[in-house]
Formats: sequence, C-alpha cells, structure tokens
Amino acid sequence: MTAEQALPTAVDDRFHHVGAVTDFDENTFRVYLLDGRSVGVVKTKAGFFAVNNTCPHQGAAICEGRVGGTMTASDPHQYAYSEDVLVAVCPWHRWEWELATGRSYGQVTARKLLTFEVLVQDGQVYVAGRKRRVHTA
Amino acid sequence: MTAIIETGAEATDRSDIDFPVIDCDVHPMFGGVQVLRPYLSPRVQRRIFGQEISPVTRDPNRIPHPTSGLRLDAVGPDQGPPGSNAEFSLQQWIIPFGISSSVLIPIQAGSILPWGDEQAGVEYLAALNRYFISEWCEFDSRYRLAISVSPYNMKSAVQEIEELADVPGVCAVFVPHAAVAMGRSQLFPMYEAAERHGLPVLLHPTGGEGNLRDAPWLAGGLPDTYPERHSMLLQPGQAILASVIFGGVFDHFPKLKVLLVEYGITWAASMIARMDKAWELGDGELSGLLRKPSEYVFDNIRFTTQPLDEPPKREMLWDILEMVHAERTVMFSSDYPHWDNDNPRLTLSTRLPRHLRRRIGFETARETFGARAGL
Amino acid sequence: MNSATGAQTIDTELHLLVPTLDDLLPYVPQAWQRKLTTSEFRLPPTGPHPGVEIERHHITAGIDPAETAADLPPDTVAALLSAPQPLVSTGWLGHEMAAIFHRAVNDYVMDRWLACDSRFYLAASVSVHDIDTAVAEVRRVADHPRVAAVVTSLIAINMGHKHYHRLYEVCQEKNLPLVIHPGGFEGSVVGPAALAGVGPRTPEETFALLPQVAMTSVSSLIFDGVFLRFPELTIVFAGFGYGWVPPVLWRADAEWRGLRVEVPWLVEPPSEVAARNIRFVVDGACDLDKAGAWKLAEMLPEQLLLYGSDRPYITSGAAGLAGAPEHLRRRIEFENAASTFPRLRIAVGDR
Repeated sequence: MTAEQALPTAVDDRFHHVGAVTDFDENTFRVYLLDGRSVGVVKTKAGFFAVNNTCPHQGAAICEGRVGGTMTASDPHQYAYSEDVLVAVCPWHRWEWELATGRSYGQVTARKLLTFEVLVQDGQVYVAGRKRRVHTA
Repeated sequence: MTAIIETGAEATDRSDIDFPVIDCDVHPMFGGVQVLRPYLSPRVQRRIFGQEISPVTRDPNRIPHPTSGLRLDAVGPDQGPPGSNAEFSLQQWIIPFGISSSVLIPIQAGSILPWGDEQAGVEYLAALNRYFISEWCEFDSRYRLAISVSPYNMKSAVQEIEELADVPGVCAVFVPHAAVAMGRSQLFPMYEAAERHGLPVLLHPTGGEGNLRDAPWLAGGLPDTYPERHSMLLQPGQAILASVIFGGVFDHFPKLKVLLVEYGITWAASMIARMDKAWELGDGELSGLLRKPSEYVFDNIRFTTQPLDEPPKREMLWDILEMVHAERTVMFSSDYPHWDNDNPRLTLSTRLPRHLRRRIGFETARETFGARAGL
Repeated sequence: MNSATGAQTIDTELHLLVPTLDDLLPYVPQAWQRKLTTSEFRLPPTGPHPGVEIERHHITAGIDPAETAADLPPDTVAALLSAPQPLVSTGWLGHEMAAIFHRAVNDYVMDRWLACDSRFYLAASVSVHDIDTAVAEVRRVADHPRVAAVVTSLIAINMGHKHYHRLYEVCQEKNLPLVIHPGGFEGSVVGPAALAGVGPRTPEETFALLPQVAMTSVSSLIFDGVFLRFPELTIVFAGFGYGWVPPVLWRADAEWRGLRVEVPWLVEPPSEVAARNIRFVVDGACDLDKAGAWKLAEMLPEQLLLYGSDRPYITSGAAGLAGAPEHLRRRIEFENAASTFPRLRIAVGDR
C-alpha cells in the first residue's frame, strides 16, 4: 500500500544546483544553505544523498562526522562490517543515520534525520530544498 | 573531512535560555608536551619528554573507543587535538552557546598517577597550571581553571594552593584520583588549604580508573567492552563520596565543597539512603560522624549534569533530582570537547524542570565558586 | 507480620545458618573432615551479613529448621532458602576446599531442612572458582524436587566472561535461575568481586558501595551478550538493593545508542534485555523505608522486583511492602517470584 512519488526526470523549481559531480570527494559532505536549512550533500558509491545538517539527538552538525558502512548484527564478540547500508555518524554521540532513509541504524531511536531528494543530471547535482514528499503506508 | 560551503553550525537559537550559563566541565589539552618546556627543570624535561602523555591516562589499546573519545568536529585550523586551542574553543563553544564562565579541568594531570618520580609529578602539575593560566585564563576571562595538585605530596599541594589561590582565573583544586582513598586523613592538609581559601576540591575521572594499579579500581573484575567500562565510571565517584563522608572530611572541614564532576547524579538517590541506613545501624555513634550522611551530601557535595540521564520519561529523572535536592547539589556541565558532551540549549531547557534551570545553569555554581566564578 | 491483605507471599531470600562445624562434618569426605578439623580452618561466622549489618552480631535464629518453619508468616507459601556461609569462599584461595564446603552445606540443607516443611525450597550454592566443579554440583542436586535455584557469590571476573558460560548453560538447561548474593569479602580481600575505589574501607562504606557488584554484573551480562547465548537464563540479584537499577539501565541504553558499533550483537536496548532476563530482590530494609523507594520501584518494569525477607538478619518481614503501590505489591510479593522460579510454580498450585 505504498504510493511513492515518481522521481523527477527534469529539474523543477524545488531543486537547487549544488555543483558538479566532480566537485565531490567520496564520503565527504559538502554543506549548503538551502531554503533556510543547512543541508549536507555527499557522494557515495551508492550514489548521492542529502541530509539535514542537524542531528535529531542534540543538534550537532551531522556533516562534520563520518560517512561509510557499519557493523551489522552479529554473534557476541564477532563483528561483520558491511557497506550495504551507508550511514552518517554524528560527530558527537556517534548515532548512526541511514543516508537513504534518515532512519536510525540499529533503531536506537525512533527519531529520524530529515533527508532531501537528490537529482544528478548531465554531471550536475541538484538537491530539493524542501522535505522529500514520499508517501508511505 | 568536511568541505563547508555554508556553515551548518549547531541549530537552535538560545531564546529559551535567558540567563548566564556556567559550564563546570570543559577540557583543555596540550597537544604536545613541549609546550611545558619553559616551566620545567632540565632533569624533569628529560624525564617527561621521552614519554607520551596520553589524554586519558591509559594506553589507548587497553580498551579503545570504537571511534574516538573526542568530538569529530572539534579540530581547529591548526590541526591540534580537540581542546588544544583556546581561541578555537571560544569560537566553537563558549561564544555560540552563551557560556559566561567555564571551569577548565585538564585531565592530563592524571598522567602523574603512576610516576614514581614524585618531584617530576609536582613540577609537571605546576607547569600544567601555569601553562593553562597563561594560555587560557589570560586569553579570556570566561576561562577559569581548576589547578591540579598531587595526591602524593601534600607539602607541594598546599604550596601550590597558597601560591595560586588568588591568581585571576583560578577557581578550584583538581586532584587526580590515585590509589589513595579520598577520605583518608593524609589528604587533610590539602582539604584544609582549599577550605581556607574558599576553593572547592574537584574530582573528575582521569581515565586511569580500572586500568592503572595507581588509580582506583572499578567494582567486580575487569570490563571487556567500552560501553561496559564507560557506564561504570560512576563507581569511582561513589567511592569518593563514601570515603569523604565516612572519613569525616566534612566534620573537619565543614565549609569545604567537593565537586564530583562527570560521575553522574541519579545513582546518588539510593546511595544516600544506604549511607543514612548504615549510619543508623550503628546508632549514628559507631560511624564517629557528627551528622547524618545525607546532610553532608546536601551541604558539601556538588554533582554536574553531564552526561544527563535519558530516561524513558523525563519525569523519572526529575523525580530523582528532587530526591537529591538538585536545587542545591547540581551544576550544569557540558564536557566539551569529549564525544558525549551535552548541549546546554537542551539541558537547560526541555530536559530539566523549569524551576531548576537557573539553579543548575549558574546559581549553584556561582555560590560554589564565589567571586571566582567570574559572574 | 506479612502481606497487608494476607495474600499468598513467596519469600525469595530466607537464610539459614550452620551452627557448628560438627554439624557439617557428616557431609564432608573423610580426608577433608581431617583437614577441616586439624588445620586453622574455622566455620565461617554467622554474621555480619554483608550489606545488612555493619557490626558483628551473634545470630541465634535461622539455625533450627523447625523453629524457622514455625516462624514463617502464615501467608508465606514458599520460601527459598540460601546459606550465606559458603558464599564467603570467593575469598578463599583453595578451590577444592570451597567446592567441598558448598557441597557439604547443600547436602546438610537437603537432609536436615527440606523435609521439615513443604514450603522450604533450596537455592543450592556453588563456588565459581572452578566452573567444572560448579556445573557438576548443579547436575548433582538439580533433580531434587525442592531445589528451585542456584546461588553463588562473585569472584573478580565479570559475569559476561566466558569463565561462567558452562554454569549458565546448565542453569538454563535445568530451568534454575542463578541467584547472585554478596559473599562478604567484597572490598576487603583480593579475589572476590572488588568494590570500586581504593581499600581499606569502613563497614559503612562497604554497605554503601555493595550494590556496585551487581551494577557491574548487569552491565557485563548485557554488553557481553550473555542472554543472546542463553536466552532462557534468569539472573537474580539478592542483597544488592534496587534503587540504583533505573539509573544504571538508562545509562546502559545511552551507551548502546552511541556505541552500538562496539556491541553490534545487541539489537535492542539493554533495558529490554534486563526486563526479560534479570530480577532483583527487594530485601534490606533500607530500600523500603525511604520515601523515594517506591518512586524508584515504579521506574522499573513491573516484573523486575521480588520480595525476600532476608531473615534472620532482618526481622521486619514484608511490613515495608505495605507502602507499595497496589499494582506492584502483588507482583513483588508473589507473582514475579512465581514466574521467575519455575520449580516453585509446580508446588504452589492454583493462584
């Protein structure tokens, strides 16, 4: 029962141009002021993501943390590192936020990190400044 | 590393906080021990410069933090470690968060705990004190220093207190917690000097707890994960509390304040009840104390907020704050620039009940540090 | 004097004392009889009870089974007996001597006490110096119909450690909760679980700090994933109070939120693990008397707390429970113990 908004095939007026794909170093946020919000944009091997630059926990600048994979659930005292899900790690209390969904990795909290739609077209990167309008059941 | 096009500095405005804030736990650090050279004798330079002064008084491999014990966003333009640049800390923390006065606690003082060369320890702490007075307190009056003294050498501890008590910026005495019970009478000369000068004595984990033979141990045996160990750092705080109270420190020094910084608060509710019960089981008389333990806690002990509890319902925390008379005993702290620092905009607004915000935000600290609070 | 309504009560902490070494010798192998009677060995004294007393008292109650049975409040339908004297063996260096002593006391209780009253159940004690011996002892006594738990005290190895795993395994297998109780040497002697800080210390400090042993244990059990390996295991802490539990669980949850990468096997908050697998006995009157005590109890999941009289050290019985909020009182005085100790349920019958 999910009605997902179709991804735009053309840049409309919600989108801000934030630079060229080549401007971005992998896993390094670039931060922009978009529609009054501080938004971090990052290039990863899974594509581009954009998140609100404010940690829902205590307000730290998420984009000054780290981006990468994380440890998945495992047996006691065993570790399994995976990059199937990429997270942003808050520079303060290290809460992990899934770049694609804004959900807390490991469900340590029900709070969510705001994410923004990213569009890459002709080697240029565009970010929608308003919250992504995705309808989920 | 972040490429910042437009700064995304930490969110909300301060509209909820219309009072001054005293931050009772900020950590300055020296990046390289060479900065202490001007303050050290050649022999002690030789002793110290061959060593690596860890910020946390233990080998990092013993129980490494999985990411870092410091904030990932607190490295300044000079690339020194977080907390090593007074200007940067001012711009990142003190000014934007409206801190009117901060208590600097240099936990690198804990390095002396295992040193058998007592004289080197004394000189190193004296160097630390003068360095931070010069580079931080004289840089900005919002920086106040807890001067470090050696628990092993009372003569030098007293001398240091006498010399520095009235230096502008000095506000407390920090004593690294060694394998010496804090209530023992051998420490009384230090307590006496501190009380006489109106200086609180401040305790804070050094990192040596549960790691060095020359530091207090944790309960049970040895932890084997970082969260296990970190969550048990309240225990040395409990040990200090029990020791100073039942050791009669406050019968001898009724005006003295002992500050338990970064050990937590809420464990104190049931511990206070247990201490009173222990006292009652001996009819009061057996303990040798003049008063009930809880009275000393409320009069002479202060706790700091960070890390502030995150219960399922904040009213649970509020209930415990009432049990420990938080309007008298609790002071705000951030623990900047450690990884788990608390944002004062949240601590001093929605996380605390309205009637406690000003008390915790600055009033109790102002009473505790007196004019030295700088307010 | 017991429950305010006269409703059924389960006492999860009733202590018994062995009066003299001679009483114990029939249960000791012959060569050890010789050793115990010709060496410096002395029967551990009956007091002080760690965490309850701060000066040595000569205890005369708790020695005679018939007297103890007669003294049981009429609404006590089951009482879990445990002997404190073997628990001091965490302070002993001879592992075999410790094992012999625990075994002898277990046999003494099974022989002299359990037949006296159908309400008596036994928490059989083991020494954790040598886990193989502990496991053998559990297997030896587990099938006695009135053995309802295992009890031990802790050495300076945290409970999450592999050292204890085979003991956890057999307790889980036999459906026996593992009760942890102070031994008596915490804080003073090298070997048992330490108290934090630096010794030596006054009895008052020991009393105040004793809950730390349980705090460390809770943290270690959860962060080391013990209940992932042994999901049916229940650990019960008796003699450590409970007022510290809410703060410790909140802190554990906060640590987990920030340090999940270090303990990725934990896929739920520590407090939820504790709610399932850990229990705390409400004993030691200091936790009941004070105003905040019930406020603290209400901060915990309802299934966590169990009533224990701690006789003969405390004689007020369940009087303190009269101040409990209604919804908690029945849980604490009966329901939680009935569901925590499966072996008690069998004989208790209809409720």
